[in-house]
Amino acid sequence: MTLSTFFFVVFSLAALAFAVGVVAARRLLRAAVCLAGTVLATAGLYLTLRADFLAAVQLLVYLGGIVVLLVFAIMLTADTHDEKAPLQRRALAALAAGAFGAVNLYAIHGSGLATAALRPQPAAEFAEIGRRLLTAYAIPFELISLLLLAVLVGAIVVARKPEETP
Amino acid sequence: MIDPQFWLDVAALLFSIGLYGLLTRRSAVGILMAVEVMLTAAALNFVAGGRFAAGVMAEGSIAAIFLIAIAASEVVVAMAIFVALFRLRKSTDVNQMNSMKG
Repeated sequence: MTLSTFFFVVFSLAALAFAVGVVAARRLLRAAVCLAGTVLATAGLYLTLRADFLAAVQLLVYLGGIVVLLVFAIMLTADTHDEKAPLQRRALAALAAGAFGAVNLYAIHGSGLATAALRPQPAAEFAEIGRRLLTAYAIPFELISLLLLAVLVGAIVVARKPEETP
Repeated sequence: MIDPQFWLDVAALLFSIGLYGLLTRRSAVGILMAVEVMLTAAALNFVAGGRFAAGVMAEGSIAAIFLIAIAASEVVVAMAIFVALFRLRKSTDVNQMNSMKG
């Protein structure tokens, strides 16, 4: 077993276990901590895929931004406990998710990917990512900045107290 | 070296777990966290695709970066809505959000 296989197994098992924690934990703060674990393990998977820049982005934005924001959301809404859904609904959801996953796995393993003998490509340099973001993908990049601005303004408008509206 | 299909397997399983959470959670914040798990699975697919297809390694990362940015905006808007909703209803249980039901 090579080192990258070892990392792949460890990080993917960790990601899946934490993901189960995210959907199963009754206390939402615990689910948020599990989400942080999933994000960390996924960053490890990105490192194993030689996407170093993306691993850094994942840690900065996801762990430092999104998970923290979710914890804020839990605290601001005092919504710390999630009741268990009724058994029938859980069984149906497990059936749907299980069927979806099974079809996916079947499609992946029947797609010929297993026999295609794809080789990993050389990793992209940071400079290459930056150059493409500002040349070939300049328009989506600007659209994302526009989206972030709209989100910033929209969130303030939606979340402020009703009596403050003019 | 790990074959590409195992990466896709992990992403598919992560997505299924997120889907289960999306269908069973009652609290809106819990649903949002399940959606985040599903988005992470999608990003993992992009990066694995970029790693194994020729000449698109940077594109895999770029697609995942856009996905992370959109996930961040989604969380911000959702959090604003939850805060406003909680002020109105004192709860974020999605089963009680039926005032538009005819």
